[in-house]
Amino acid sequence: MRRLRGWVVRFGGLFKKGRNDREFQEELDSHIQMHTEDNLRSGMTPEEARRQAMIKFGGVESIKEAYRDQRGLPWIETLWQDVRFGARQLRKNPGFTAIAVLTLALGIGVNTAIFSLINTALFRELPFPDAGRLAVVWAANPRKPGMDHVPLANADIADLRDHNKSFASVAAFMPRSADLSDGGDPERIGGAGVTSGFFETLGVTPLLGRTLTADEEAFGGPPVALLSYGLWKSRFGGDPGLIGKAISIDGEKRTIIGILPPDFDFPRGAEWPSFLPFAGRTEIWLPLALRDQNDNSGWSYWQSQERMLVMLGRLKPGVTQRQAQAEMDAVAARLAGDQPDTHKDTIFQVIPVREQLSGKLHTALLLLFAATGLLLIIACVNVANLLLARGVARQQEMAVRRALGAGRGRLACQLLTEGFLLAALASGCTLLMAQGCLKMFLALNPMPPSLLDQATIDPVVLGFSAFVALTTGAMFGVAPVLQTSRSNLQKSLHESGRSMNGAARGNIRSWLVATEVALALVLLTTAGLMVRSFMRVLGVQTGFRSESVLAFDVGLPSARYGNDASQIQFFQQLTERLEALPGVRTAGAISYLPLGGGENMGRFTIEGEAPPSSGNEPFAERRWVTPGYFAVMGIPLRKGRVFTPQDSADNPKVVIINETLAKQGFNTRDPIGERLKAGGAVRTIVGIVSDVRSSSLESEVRPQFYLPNAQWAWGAMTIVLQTKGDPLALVSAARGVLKTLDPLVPAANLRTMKQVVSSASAPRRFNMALLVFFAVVALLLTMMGIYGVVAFLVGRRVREIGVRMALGAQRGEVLRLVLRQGMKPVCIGCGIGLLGSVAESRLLASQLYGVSASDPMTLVSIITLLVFASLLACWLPARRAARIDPMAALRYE
Amino acid sequence: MSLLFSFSMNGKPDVWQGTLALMVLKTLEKTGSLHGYGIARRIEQTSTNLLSVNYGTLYPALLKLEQEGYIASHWGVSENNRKARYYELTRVGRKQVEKETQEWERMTEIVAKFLNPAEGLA
Repeated sequence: MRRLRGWVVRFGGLFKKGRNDREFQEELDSHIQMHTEDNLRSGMTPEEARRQAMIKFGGVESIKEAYRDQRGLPWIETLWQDVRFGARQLRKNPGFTAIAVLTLALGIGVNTAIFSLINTALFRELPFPDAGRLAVVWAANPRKPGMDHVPLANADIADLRDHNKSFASVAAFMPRSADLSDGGDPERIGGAGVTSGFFETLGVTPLLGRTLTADEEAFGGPPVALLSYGLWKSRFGGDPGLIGKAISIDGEKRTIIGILPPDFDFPRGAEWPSFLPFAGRTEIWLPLALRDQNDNSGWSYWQSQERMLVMLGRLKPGVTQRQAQAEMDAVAARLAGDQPDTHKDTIFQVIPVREQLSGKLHTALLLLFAATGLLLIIACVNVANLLLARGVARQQEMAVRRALGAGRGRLACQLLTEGFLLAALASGCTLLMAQGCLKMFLALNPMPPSLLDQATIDPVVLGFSAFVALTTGAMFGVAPVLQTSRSNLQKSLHESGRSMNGAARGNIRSWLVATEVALALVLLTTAGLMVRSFMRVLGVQTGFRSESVLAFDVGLPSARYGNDASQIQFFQQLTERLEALPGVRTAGAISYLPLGGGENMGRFTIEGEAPPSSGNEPFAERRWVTPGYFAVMGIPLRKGRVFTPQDSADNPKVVIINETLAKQGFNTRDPIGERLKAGGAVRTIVGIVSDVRSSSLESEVRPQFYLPNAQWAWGAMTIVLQTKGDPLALVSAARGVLKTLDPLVPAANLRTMKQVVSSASAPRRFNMALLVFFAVVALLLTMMGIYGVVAFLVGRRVREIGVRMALGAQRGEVLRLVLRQGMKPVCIGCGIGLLGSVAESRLLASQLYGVSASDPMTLVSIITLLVFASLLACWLPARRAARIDPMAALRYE
Repeated sequence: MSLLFSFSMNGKPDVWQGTLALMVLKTLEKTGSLHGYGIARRIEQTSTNLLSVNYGTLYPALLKLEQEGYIASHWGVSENNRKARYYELTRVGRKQVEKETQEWERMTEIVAKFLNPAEGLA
């Protein structure tokens, strides 16, 4: 307690030095005076009296020193002194300071920004209570690659819901959009069909109202809906009286029973596979009937084995994912035995919701993180290099200090303080840099709103990266001092810090350069491969026209367009009226726009062939089109004919297949005139069209077939228009046409095909741009590092070079000498980096398209680039060496 | 090396800080308020000039006692009409003298037992 008081007073003592020094001087003066007087009294002469008093008193200055140490906290004063000295040093070398600070800030900032993204995506707390126990269940076929994350069938979920032991509750949901006409202009909003346990399973309670009852889930139950907070606020002014009111949804009155909390928007489109067309934000939740398997009306168009549903479950307390998986395996085995037709080779995968929601971002983010990690190391190495160089330059200063009695510890302390000062400066910049980078990444992020939007700079991450950089800096800043031993102190003083054990230090620096080069090579190769992949993706033939095509979605509410005829008529009239518009060449419609998200897979069999066992029929992408579609999209007809208005419900059923289906299904046979069994009817193949990239630019083209909309109505279509000029100029005209047909049906999601294609490659462009940015920074840092080392080596050898030249060495020889020395670590680094690139290729392979991870052309060009950049960095100091005047060099000193 | 003293160059033992603190406190207890020079002389006299007080130790020790609140100081005028800094015990200081005296006695007792083991055994 008393001791604490002592410390507090001493801390206070730091700040009122002046007065206390004076007071103490007075106290000492009076002390000596009194002593002198006493001595006089005992009979000494005045001089003797004073002399004796002074002798007895001892060294005044050392007493004052001891007093001062007791008065304040000497180590704080020392520290303060070091800080001021360090600050002066940094100010004196603005170039060094700026480069070191910027390098650190860049390395740490970029790293922190990317890690913050990863942190948000992978480790963020989901807004659901006990989210760790939430899991989704998918179907998969282990025998067929790519057949995983398949949604479940209606019957399977009903089965699993009633008979499992692992889940406390089970729910299902699926994409479902809805037309809203009350409270404003007609609008198509994104939503989800959900079963009654959905909100309970997630653990979400509505802000207002209640959740679904089992009653409302049943088919023919009361029509109800829940709205998002955002929709409730924007469209209905946040009116609490909306609960219990009926509003018009898809042309049908539905009672609003609940409003969800503001932060709830599950499921979000960006987090789910693209074949499940969830909207970016889900704004409406409608009941989804699980049990009725025979109803074919309205939007519940699936049959029992059409797979459309995502199963969501909450694990019982104490049940692990593995246990749940084991139970699902048993269920799958049982179903495969009981219903071999539909469940042969089918397994169920239990995937934690957290993994599901971040899975799409996983690999790409990890790759970026690895890249920034390398960048951070390069930045650290560079700063270490700078500090080493400076340490050598200050060797003489340190030698003088040591000769004057400073201990090694004291010097190390001072250098550490300088290092920390540098770091403090850097961390200020780092914070700005990290925030800037994060903002830039989020702005560039082409994916729709997702988890990432909530990313913020994580202080722990920032602290960690700063700590790594600091430690490196401190280590290499202090090392040169610790190397000056007593024995070479004299030598150091003599040689003005030019040649003492510089060879060893030069070696360290060369190794640092080799490390940098190796890391930079890995980064550059990665970036190079990503660029090549991106170019390959851009070069992919989509198979359709993307210039001058406008697209928008139209969904017909089943309440008013209950029968096929009305839907067929609507789309026929719509395309006809659109074609009549002045700027439109042709118009058509398709159920699922290529690259537009959303996919419908259908089974098919070829008539006359031995039918595969039921349930094992091949799958193909199935699309419903109007006759004009192929013309609008410029999809070339390879054989036969396209659909005509004569392919109507009354005439024989027809189908058009793509080349891949033709090749896979018919080999060399001519498919025209052959018959395909699909969708419960036999259809004659009348045409073959060329392949279209439909689900992504990068995946293989699958078998595709097209059905005429007039023979099998599809109520939600994407209208496509081929325009004469700028497609976007036709937006309002197209809207107007739609309004004349039905004022309550909105045109949703207006976009050009060019935008569609561009957004299909946007995530790749984003990753590539970031990697290229990192690689360029890495290259620049490495060049700086090489330049620094070679310049240092040249500086150290001025005299030697002078002697060589005096003895007849030519300038060219000197140039070669320096270049050889400078390029040695570069070559070693290239070798190591090459090995690193090969090791990294496994991580990279999944991110590449159309190039192999060990693509020789990329490797060769990157190495060439790196070697040339290094040569340039070496050449500048080497040229200086070659210009050394031997006379001046020899007299130097 | 002694636990309590170190020997200065003139052959007289210097007083170690901890011991010195007790001596200072005890001196102030007897004399009331006194200046640094007086305290030093007093300690030397009390030790019949066997001890020599090192001022490089004394003044920091006084400062430390003051920082810890055992003594207080003020400027006063000496018997010879000279301005001097006077130290005196605070209330806490008085208690501390008692406590440290007891501790000291207990310790010397223990040490004595080792130095004169015969008595201890008797």
